[in-house]
Amino acid sequence: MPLAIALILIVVLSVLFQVFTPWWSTPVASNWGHIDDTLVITGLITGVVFIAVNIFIAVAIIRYRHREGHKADYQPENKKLEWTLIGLTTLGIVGMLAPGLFVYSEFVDVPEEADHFEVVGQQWQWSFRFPGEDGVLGHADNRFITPDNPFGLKPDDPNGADDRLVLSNEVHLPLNRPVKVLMRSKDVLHDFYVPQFRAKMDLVPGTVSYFWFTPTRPGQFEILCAELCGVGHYNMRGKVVVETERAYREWMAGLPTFAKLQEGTTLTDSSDLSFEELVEQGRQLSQAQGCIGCHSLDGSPTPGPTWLNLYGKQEELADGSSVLVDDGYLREAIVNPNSQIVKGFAPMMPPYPFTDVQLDATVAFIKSLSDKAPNQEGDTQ
Amino acid sequence: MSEPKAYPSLEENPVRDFSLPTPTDLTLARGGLRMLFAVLGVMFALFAVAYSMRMHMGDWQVLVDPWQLWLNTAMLIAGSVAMEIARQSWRRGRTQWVGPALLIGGGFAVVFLAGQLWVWSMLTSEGYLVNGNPATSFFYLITGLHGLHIVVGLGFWAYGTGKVLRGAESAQRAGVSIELCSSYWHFLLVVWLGLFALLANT
Amino acid sequence: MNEPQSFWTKYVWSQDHKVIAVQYSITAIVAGIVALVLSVLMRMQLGFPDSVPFMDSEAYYQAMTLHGMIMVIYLLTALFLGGFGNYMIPLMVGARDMVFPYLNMLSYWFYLLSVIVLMASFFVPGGPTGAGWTLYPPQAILTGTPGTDWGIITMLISLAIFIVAATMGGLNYVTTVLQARCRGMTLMRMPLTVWGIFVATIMALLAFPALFVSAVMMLFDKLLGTSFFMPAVVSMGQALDYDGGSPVLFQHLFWFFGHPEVYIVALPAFGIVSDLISVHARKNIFGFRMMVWAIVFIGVLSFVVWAHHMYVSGMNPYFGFFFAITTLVIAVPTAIKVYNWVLTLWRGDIHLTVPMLYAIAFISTFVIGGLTGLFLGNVIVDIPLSDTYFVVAHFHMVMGVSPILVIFGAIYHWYPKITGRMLNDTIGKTHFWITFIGTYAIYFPMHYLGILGMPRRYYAYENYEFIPQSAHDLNSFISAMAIVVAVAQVLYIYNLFWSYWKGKEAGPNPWGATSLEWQTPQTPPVHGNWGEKLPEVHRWAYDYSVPGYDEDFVPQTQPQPEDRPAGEMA
Ligand code: HEM
Ligand SMILES: [Cu+2]
Ligand SMILES: [Cu+2]
Repeated sequence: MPLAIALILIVVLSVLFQVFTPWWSTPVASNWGHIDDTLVITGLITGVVFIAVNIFIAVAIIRYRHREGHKADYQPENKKLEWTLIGLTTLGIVGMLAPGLFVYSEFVDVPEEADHFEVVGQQWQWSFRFPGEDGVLGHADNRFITPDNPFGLKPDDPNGADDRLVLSNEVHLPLNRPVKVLMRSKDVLHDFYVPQFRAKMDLVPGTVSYFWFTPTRPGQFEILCAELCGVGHYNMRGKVVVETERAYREWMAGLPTFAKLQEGTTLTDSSDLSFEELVEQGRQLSQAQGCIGCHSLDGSPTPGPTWLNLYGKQEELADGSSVLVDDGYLREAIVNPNSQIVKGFAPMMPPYPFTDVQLDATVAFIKSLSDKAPNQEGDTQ
Repeated sequence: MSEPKAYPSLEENPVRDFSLPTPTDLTLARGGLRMLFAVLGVMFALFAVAYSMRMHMGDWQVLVDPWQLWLNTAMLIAGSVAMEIARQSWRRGRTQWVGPALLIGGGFAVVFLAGQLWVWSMLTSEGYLVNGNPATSFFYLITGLHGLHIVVGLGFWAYGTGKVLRGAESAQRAGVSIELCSSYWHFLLVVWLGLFALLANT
Repeated sequence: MNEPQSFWTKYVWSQDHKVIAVQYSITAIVAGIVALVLSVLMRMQLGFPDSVPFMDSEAYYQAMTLHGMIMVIYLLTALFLGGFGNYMIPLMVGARDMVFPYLNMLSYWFYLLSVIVLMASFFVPGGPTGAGWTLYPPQAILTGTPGTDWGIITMLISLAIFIVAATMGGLNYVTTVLQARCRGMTLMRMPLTVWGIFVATIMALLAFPALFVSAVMMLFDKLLGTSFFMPAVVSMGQALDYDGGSPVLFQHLFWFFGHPEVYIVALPAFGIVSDLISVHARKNIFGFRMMVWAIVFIGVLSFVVWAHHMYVSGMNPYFGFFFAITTLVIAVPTAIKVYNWVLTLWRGDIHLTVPMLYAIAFISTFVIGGLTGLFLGNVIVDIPLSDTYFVVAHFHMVMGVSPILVIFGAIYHWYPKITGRMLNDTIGKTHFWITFIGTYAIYFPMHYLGILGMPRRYYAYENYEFIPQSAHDLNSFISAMAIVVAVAQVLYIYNLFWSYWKGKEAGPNPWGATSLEWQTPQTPPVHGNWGEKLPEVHRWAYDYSVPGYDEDFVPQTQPQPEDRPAGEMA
């Protein structure tokens, strides 16, 4: 008897919960409102079944619970009833499947006029590439990736020269223009997911996956990674800014092209660079190499120690000793990271065989993030 | 007493009683072995599926199979024939043939393994390494796994043959070993023919 | 058979299916407790971030992986097939033992070895793998994931050993069902418990090879540098030697195993719960034939739905149409089972014994899990929900909570046969209510976090704007409930021990059940089960409340009266 009451209570509470829940989909910001509709249809049909079955059990318990002298019926089968139920179930299934497949066929059918851009994932950050004036993305492959060519563009592909590159985790998109998202990964699986857009898709190294959508609401939206990609998975953040065509064009104009980036990186000697230039080199390098996937720049917790105020700090090591973070320490920590492990962190950083110039640039960048660093001018040697 | 049609009648369901602890009943063992064949068959089939899916990934380079494989295939067939002779002789009571035929059947399997190792060392010396092109990787993986099954089979074979040669007291038990070993030999032959057809020049 | 036996041959190197079943069950439950502790650690982190000092993101992902893997494989699969399969099959089909007792013993020892290797991975350098229970490459073997050296290797080896163990056991169960049934035990007279375990075993035999194949190929990629699953990658700034492999190929192989695996766990639960409901409602199971066909149909279909786990994997999106249809078609036989369970209750004589409470609770939780499956199977609805907490709530309802409730009920139901004593009802009821209400409180609201969009496999949710504070509070509530439920499991374990010595004497057939295991000459049954003569079966296992009999059950061994034609379902 308490069980019957419990089941009825469960039904009542579930329905109330559904009606009053503060937790529901984020407001949709893309054309995929239909996906929400299919979700609601499915919810209604399954909700009816959920209520019906639980109430049926509760009534059965109340009416047929054991009492003295009570005996059960002997009724092995009832073909008519069984087939009726099968028929009704099939109907319900079709009711969910048909609209679902209809919307899905829209989902897989990318409109002709859609623009396209590329999302590149790596542990644990996003970067983006736009096709440039020619409207065509240059051929790219992980095999072409070098420190100077973080996207792995095919160096001699003419289509690639004007590609606009975004070496940060923020991407802008124009409002109300259908766009096809092409996705690549440098290392492991990731998944490009913006809750408000509803759509998501894995990034698979070695192939290019895609989906399409139309942003319908201006604003800033968080990008999340929805496929386990290692210890930084929960922290693989990005941002989509949906804005007017005009603002988008302006933003785009400020992006470096691939050709431009290549010129800028033929760096052989650091002595003729100013500290600011070196810091800028270091910033680009640490984005391209993925350092900032593990080392935050703002003090937030990440798989590796944050770089904010790192320089000049006394770092506690796993073996209990402590050491001053200076140029020498940092250079060693990049080239040979596992020789000294910082307390509370795992020995998981791979060695980076940087050149002297690259080391100078990176160290300068880390210095620039610290207020404990000695006044920088000139002492980069 | 009328039984409804949907259910088999008593007569169709033979009685099975068997005595503990060790079942010697050939039908039981054979039933188990058939299930095992199904399991192993699925496993090799899945390797074949993985093979053909990986084949279309673009970087595939056809591995031209060494002619020795034909020789090895012949060895495996010969082994199967010898095992079948052992089985038939046993069934017909020509016990003097059983021991030699078993030995020959096992011997061919050993020669097959040696032949496969020969192919491996040849490929290796020609620079086809296991971490090279996926066609080569699959070659080592699949032939290796098939070979491993032959090795396990040889273990059971040694056990059964030992019993026969020592003039086993429990004739029935030796019989089970002979029956099972020869079925197993045939099974691995069939698997090999399938794999060979797949590997050959793809 | 009756020669004197030492402790060692009787309880350790035993070839008696009942002893092996108990060995399997105890090992599985111990592994399950480890997994339960891991889940509490995870819930602590999620509900009360940073409350467990050593729980950093590495430890979280390791706990998550081991929790999932242990629960699915080493607890549920082992307990249903190795535990219940071993105990029930020979008794329920009237055999003296499994047909290959020696192989059966080996199966257990291999299983134990696989568990030991798995547990050893906690102590290897780098700790256990944190790649998720799906072990997807490339991350499973690349830096950035915990345990990519020793951890993943021990995991794969442990799985391979487990597969060998399951195969040895499975060959036994299938052959026993097919060849060792007693006189009169036609296939259609087997209780649904046997049917469920039988079909699940066949599925296990055919599905585990896929896991084996993917494990071996991944080991090759890891240890020998092949590129089966590994494309060209630049990992942490370094180009590796891999080239051209396909991570999606792994996913196909994995889920070709992984989906049937869900039903390998579910079908035995379906079978057992059917019998529990029928016995305790004193009524034959409704639509028996349909129930059998549903089991078989589900078994077959579940081999053609695997890619519903891969709708957003980057595979060819057009596959989505096919797999959505097959997946939703499976809902029909599954729904039939639910209907027939509840119709069995209708016009029954429902004894609300503790096993019956668990059985009815199972229907309720399974209905939720099954219905949310319709969201995730219907490809377009899955796209926003996949990899969110909706999925976590779904699979915990459908293959976590539901089968576990059946296990609780089943142990409660058969404990008297296994030990000769009843479990304590007061403890049983207390445990039931906390577990049933608690799991509802944990998982029902969790679906909504998924609809909100919170991704699964997240160590922390700090500073995400779309997640309101109330969602964090809900997470704390869920964690608190999870801890209550976890602690309540102590009651059940305590009951098992307490009743072993202090429980009420049960007698041979305390529930008044018809099936063969209750008709053994001794309770608990001795080695060989049946004494001198094997039983003979004259009717199906569901002759409850048959008109014209004084008792409300007629054992399967009771002959049909001469003057009366057999009942419709004899
Ligand atoms: C009190 C009981 C349980 C609790 C509190 C619990 C809790 C959890 C939590 C917190 C996660 C991690 C979710 C995430 O980070 O995405 C998880 C994952 C998982 N659980 Fe449970 N769980 C319980 C019982 C079970 C049972 C009985 C099963 C058996 C099927 C199970 C199977 C899984 C699986 C397969 C995963 C996924 C692991 C992965 O993502 O790799 N859990 N559970
Ligand atoms: Cu991720
Ligand atoms: Cu599935």
